[in-house]
Amino acid sequence: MDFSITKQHQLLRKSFVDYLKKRCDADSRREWISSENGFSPTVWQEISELGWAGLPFDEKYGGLNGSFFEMLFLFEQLGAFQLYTPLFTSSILTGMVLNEAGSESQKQFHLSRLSDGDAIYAAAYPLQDNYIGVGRGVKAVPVDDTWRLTGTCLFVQYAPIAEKILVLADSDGGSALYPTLFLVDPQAGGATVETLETLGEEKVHTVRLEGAPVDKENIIGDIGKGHQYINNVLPKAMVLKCAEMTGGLQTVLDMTVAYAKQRYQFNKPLGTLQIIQHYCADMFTDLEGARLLAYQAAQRINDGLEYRREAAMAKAWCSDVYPKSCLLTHQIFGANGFTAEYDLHLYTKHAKVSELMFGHSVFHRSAVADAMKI
Amino acid sequence: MRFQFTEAQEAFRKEVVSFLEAEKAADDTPWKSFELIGPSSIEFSRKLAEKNWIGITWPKQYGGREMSYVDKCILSEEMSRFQAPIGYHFLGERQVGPALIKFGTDWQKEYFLPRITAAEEKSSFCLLFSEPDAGSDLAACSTTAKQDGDHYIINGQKTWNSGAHHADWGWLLAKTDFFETTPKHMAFSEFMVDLTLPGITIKPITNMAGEHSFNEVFFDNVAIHKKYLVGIENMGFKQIMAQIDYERSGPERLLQNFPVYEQTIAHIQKMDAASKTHGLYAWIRDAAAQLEIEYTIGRLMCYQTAWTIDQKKVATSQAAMSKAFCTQFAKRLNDVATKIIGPTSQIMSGSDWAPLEADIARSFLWGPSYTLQGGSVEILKNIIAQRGLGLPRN
Repeated sequence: MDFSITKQHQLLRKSFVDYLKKRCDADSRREWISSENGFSPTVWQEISELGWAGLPFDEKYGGLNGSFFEMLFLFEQLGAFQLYTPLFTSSILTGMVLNEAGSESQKQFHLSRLSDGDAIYAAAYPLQDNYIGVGRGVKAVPVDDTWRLTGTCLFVQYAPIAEKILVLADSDGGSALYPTLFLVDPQAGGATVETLETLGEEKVHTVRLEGAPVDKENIIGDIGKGHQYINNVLPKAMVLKCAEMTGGLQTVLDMTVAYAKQRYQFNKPLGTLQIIQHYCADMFTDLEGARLLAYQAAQRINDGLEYRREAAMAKAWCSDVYPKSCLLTHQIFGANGFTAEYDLHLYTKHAKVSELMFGHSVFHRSAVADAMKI
Repeated sequence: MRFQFTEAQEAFRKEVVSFLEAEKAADDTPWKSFELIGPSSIEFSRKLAEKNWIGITWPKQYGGREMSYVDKCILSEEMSRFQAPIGYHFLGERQVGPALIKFGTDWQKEYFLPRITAAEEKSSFCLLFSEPDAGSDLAACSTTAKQDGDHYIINGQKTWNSGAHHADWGWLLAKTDFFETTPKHMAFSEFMVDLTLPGITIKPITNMAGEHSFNEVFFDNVAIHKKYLVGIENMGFKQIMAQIDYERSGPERLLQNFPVYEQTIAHIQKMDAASKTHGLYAWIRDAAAQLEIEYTIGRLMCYQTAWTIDQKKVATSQAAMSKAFCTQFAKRLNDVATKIIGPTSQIMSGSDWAPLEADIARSFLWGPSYTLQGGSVEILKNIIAQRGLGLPRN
């Protein structure tokens, strides 16, 4: 047992924090969120230059070949600062799947473009469906030398600016059991993108495919093995999402404690009231649980150990405590926290969206129960 | 960062487990406990002493092995998991030894420490802290220790003293400064009291489970020699606070009713097909998985606190969090288990209809004590908020 974080990782984490602190102030963040595509291209360029976009990829693809720990600490801070960028969808959800399933030449071409941030790719898997129904949304039919994709993908991030969209589509004529990964070029016709209004702040889209063509070079991995590739990558992406949630929860707790110290009612700080202290202690305890479980799962991934049970535990716990803590803290912030002006709601929205992504607590407790053989 | 144990730690755990399996099989008395400290058996404690397993974190010069608190956590975890009868040496090892090592005189160390690590006759301790009017507010204690030549004369009443009826010695907190202007926390001293001294009366208290585990202890002009004063006079409160982290964070808090957990999960695994198709089964799976997740967190918190202490860092908030989390888990486990097992869970063991060897009914009745003993959850949350998050005191 060793709960320490190495000097090297501490320094790396500090570099993430330093950049985000300097760059991601509340006003700028608001401005980026309300911009057309919901993010700052300048920031995207900067963080790509810092190597964040290429963190998961091998140096031969222009990446940093970062360890999973490094990604863990990065996503924890991205969650803490609520910086919305294409990083998760482009490098993790799409890039890591390309890395898993792509041919050498595909990886060479695509991953090097993702690493330097020149291109943004989007992922279109039915993530919000508790996994159930993966691959049912889109059908792929071979026509001469190309495949034609038809169907609708929901919750696709950065779709309007994505150069490619990686789609998991049913390719075996109906059973949906053996889907295939297709890299769709939205400019090649047959694809329309619409904004999907949700409760979240980070923009998501609907991608409608009507006979969108994909040639052979853009089939990723073997036909019919899409599930397999996705299942090797998504649980890891889910642990990074847990890290992001942990970071978000840490900020919520920090905000709450700061507010409880400065806000006076009954001629004393709110934070002297025992009920407020206990709320904060509960949130802190829930956060520590989230961090321990997320780090445990990440360490197992980092060290090449079996990790799915630990990943399920982490997502189950994070999915419960992050939204719960946000709602509790709204009670402490009173009407201030209910305003659009105050930043707390960014976290409350992030908490709910993250809870529903990759499956919520009940879904993952079912996976834990499976592992317990009950 | 590494959440797995080292090979040496795994080997140590294996050694402990094999020892406990053999001892449990050889013992005619079933190992069963619903309380933190567990049954007292000098014979069993002697066997641990022979293995050098009492005081393993202590310095070698006092009979210890200078092993880490993570190692100690492994040892305690297995003792609790097996519900081994460790009551005889439990408080001497956990409370008395570390306090004497830090604050004791040379004579106290030389006299008591080898006796505790060897589980000798007359080396079993109980705590004498709480009083009828001093529970969570320990600084409201009114038992007095007035110096009279080479002695202190003790008068007053202590209560909720677990195991006082088995113990040879008491670890006493008493008031030694009587100036009205002295801050409360600067007015107390710690003493070791021979419980056979004249003037001491120990009266049993029956708890709501119908069992005699704790007591009232009365002091009527009890004279104790000043060599039994521990540390500095009037600094007793601070000494207790300096020591409390490991006491709080031990895995025994998580595991005091562990058989209920183990056997409830086993019960679910053995449910027949009809039960598994019942609508309730989805909830049972969900509830059991939630317990598993909480158990995992509690365990990690215990080990993290032990590790922090090994790093010589302050673990006060962490230890309080660990204890609050683990005791709430243990109490909730009793409740969830009754729902999973259903109506038969209320039947006490001994009846043919009692569902599990673990005796959920009895464990449930012990449950309210878990979140009170050694600092209530509410006090612990205050500590987390004030020490861990820096929220202001009143």
